[in-house]
Amino acid sequence: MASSSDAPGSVTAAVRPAVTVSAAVAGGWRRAAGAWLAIVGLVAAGALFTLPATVLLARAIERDLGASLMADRVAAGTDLVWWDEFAYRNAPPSFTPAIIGGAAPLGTYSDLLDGDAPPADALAAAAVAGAAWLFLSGGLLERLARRRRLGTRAFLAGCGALFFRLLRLALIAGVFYAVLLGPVHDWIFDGLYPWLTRDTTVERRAFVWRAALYLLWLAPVLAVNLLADYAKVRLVIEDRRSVLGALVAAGRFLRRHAGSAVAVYAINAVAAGVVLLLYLILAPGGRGGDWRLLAALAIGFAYLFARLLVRAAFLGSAMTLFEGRLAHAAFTAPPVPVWPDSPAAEAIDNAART
Amino acid sequence: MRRASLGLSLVAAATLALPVEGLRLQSPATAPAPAEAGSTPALSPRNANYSIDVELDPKTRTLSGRAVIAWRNITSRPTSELRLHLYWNAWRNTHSTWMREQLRGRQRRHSMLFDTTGDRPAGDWASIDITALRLLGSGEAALVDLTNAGQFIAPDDGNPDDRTLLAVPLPEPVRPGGTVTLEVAWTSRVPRTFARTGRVGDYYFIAHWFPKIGVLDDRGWQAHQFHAGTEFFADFGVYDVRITVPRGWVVGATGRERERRDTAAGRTVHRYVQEDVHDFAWTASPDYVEHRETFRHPTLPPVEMRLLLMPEHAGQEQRYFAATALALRKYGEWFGPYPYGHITIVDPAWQSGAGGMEYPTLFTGGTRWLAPDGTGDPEAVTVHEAGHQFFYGIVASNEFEHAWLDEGINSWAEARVMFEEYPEQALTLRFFGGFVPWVIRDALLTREVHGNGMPGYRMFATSDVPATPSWRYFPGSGARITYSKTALWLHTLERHIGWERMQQGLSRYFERHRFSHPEPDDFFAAINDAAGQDLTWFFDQVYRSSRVFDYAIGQLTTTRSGPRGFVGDGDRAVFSTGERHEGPWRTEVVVRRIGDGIFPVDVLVTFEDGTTARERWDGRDRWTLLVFERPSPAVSAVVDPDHVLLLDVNLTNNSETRRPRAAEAARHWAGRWWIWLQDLALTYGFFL
Repeated sequence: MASSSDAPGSVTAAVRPAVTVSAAVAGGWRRAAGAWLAIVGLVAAGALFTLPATVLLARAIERDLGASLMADRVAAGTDLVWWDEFAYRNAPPSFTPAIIGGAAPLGTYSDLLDGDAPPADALAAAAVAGAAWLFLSGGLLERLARRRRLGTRAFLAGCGALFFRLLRLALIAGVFYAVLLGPVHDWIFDGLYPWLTRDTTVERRAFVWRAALYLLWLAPVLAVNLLADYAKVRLVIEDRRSVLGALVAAGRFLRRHAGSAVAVYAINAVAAGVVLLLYLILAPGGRGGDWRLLAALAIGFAYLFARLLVRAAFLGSAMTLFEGRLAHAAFTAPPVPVWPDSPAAEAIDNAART
Repeated sequence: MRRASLGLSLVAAATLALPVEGLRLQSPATAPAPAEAGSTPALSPRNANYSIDVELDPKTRTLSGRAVIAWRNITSRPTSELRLHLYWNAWRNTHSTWMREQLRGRQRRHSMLFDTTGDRPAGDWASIDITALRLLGSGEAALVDLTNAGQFIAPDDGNPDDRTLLAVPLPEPVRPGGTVTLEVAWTSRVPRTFARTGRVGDYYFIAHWFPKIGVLDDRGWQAHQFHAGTEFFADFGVYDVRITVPRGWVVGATGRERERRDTAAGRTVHRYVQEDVHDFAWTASPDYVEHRETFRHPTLPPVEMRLLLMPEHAGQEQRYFAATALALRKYGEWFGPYPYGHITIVDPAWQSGAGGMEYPTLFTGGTRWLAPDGTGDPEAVTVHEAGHQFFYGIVASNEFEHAWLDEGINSWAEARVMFEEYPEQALTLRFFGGFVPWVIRDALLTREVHGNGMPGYRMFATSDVPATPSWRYFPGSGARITYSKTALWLHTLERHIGWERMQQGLSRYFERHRFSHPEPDDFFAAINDAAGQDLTWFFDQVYRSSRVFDYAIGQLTTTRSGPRGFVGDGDRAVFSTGERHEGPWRTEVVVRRIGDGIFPVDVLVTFEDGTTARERWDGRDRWTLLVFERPSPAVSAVVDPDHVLLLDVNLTNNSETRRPRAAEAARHWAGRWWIWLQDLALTYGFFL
């Protein structure tokens, strides 16, 4: 407990220096790295929930190829002849060459930015995985907040405890995303962009406009995401029950620490970009062979792990920044020891540091 | 508008150089010496000659034009009227035949049409209005004022709102061999690009822009309304055109520039002349950067290549030149020489919509700011459009009725050129608004399927019979029949009769019908001659029907067993289980004809000991059974193993093996898809 008295033996409260942006990022990455096992579990869960759709696709491919020698060519690599035929014979709409190598993430981001909905067959499967992520993210948040191993039971207990709050938060944020992905996107890219580039005869210029509009559109999208992240932080760390309250509180925090929060977010976004770039370079193509498939899966899962690690770092950095900037019970600035030292004060200081 | 007396003389003299009957004209007193007119020996009939003055006003986006058209009746029948194409009226409003068909075609999911919505603002639309039309007599006096005599006609669909074809009655018929000279003045609104014609910003591409006389042959006028799915048709002649544009703008046009003159009003007049062509297009922009190179070949005439390049594509000029030279070389070696001595390559501006189109001695290519090697931009479109100089430009078939004679033949030829020169063309995807290319290097395109357009053809295989006049194809799908189906059956023919005979056939067709208007039967005759056989059975199926070809291996069994049951006679008969562990293997292959098309096919059976057996089946019945007794069991059977029948819409069913690897292939691709799906879930899960 802090005291502002100057009497001898008393302890004067002093504010610990607020955590810096770099420290918040570092702290977030330490939390994320510490939670690597949980992240592996999340990757495994994602794989499990998308496996049924994958098996269905495998069966469809096998049925289409039958006993044909075409299968030899398809097993050996990317055979566009068969791919065109399979598409004509009603292949799942998501099964296109855009799933190969680096085209896979680029195509997904491109569709997102250009407002193109994912194919229905993939959307259904991804929605199942998304629901699983929503459930399991509660456990991850707990793990990141507590900064210690939880064990499966405690992890799942955290999932359960937070699920409905996270679901309500997702629904509220979903309304904003729907507006941004829907009418706002249409207005910017089907209205503003054609108007701005109507008489442009230089492609480079049109691209610059488009890139600028991507940023213009992304700004509120990422702002909503940032607010939702800090709402999650406050839900978990302060054990709030009200999602609206958490959102308002997150908004207050962001208003006071906007620069730092955005800087932390931006640094982690750069890390996400690095992960993407590495995958674009390393992602295997379509050549066949079982060992190539294993390599593709290994690189693919490593990429997915890295993506989730970065996501965890986003959340962990937000937690570190929040904890480091806000003073209240259990997170108060430790008293500055004055001579003669008070063992009690020093004990509290040590506890606050660890 | 200054009278184009010099130009009038040029075209009138070109027309009058030949015997005339009917309306007699005299050259004006200011005419140049006859030697100057049509200064090169005539390669074509030169029966439709134009002397045109046109001025572009970029502020109002209008053209003001005046032309003298000298036309000679080269048929054996007289005519009491002339028919003039006024193509730009197709984009006057949404009730024209072109617009109705365009909008109808857009309702199809796979329509490959340009942006032609009916929602455009006023300034985006086009029109062409004749302000004066006179039949010229001797000297300066007009013979007959026909300005109000013309009537718009709609012989194709009876659309009273269509104003793309004007019938002009004549006071006297023009007898065979007779000539008539018209003077016509018009104004037109330059649209924001429709069908590769128009402007965006200060970039102008002007095509089909003047009142153009239709083609009269012995059957009558072959002049159609302007349809959404077709192109054009006109007679050969001499074009002498003076184009006035703002000073400093770079102009490209059909022909060679003969003269350039600045005017006091801050404008420049560019004079272009070209003989023996049937159209004239031009372009103007202040942004073009000009490059020149010369195509040289040991046995073909040199061609000066002039490239008008957009500044942002700097660095791609050599790619344009290389592709143009490639087309000139290959088409020249295979079919015949390019005769004009010069060619203009236009790199269209972004959003101009002018790319990928052919005009005599000038064509538009098309590339992107980011155009990695091996993706076909700008090479494929350049080879294709340069190739059109041969099939369309020199062999001037009727694009209204037989679009396949230029588009299909050219698509087939272009694919051969491209895959010979660039055998490894990879699939390119474009992301982020189409701006960012991503090349999938191990996803290679094939000439047989992608070069010929099989994916598109497959979707519309039965939409129209190719022999249907092209203007009557269903909007939006006609291109698949015209381009893709033709390329596929030509390539099939190439494999069936051999490249040498195919090349000879095309070369004969080119040589026989240069500077004329051939019909489909002319083409078939040339191929039959070169092939030394009557291929009517083939042409009837691919051209006169919409039959689809699909052969399949229905069944492959290979057994080594004797009869199960009683074997032997009478009391000596014994029951056999049929098991046998020695002796020959009996292989039975059922080959099916699933499609309606009939084509002779080979069947190749491979045995475990490495031997093979090949049988020829005439492909007529719905199925056939092939039986082999061999020391080794069969491993696989393939129908059409050499892929001669490129029209076969399903290659997956062309084979069967006893060692299928479908499960391995499924694992291979489902595994990759699995990673993609999880990545998709994470991307959208970012928002949860």
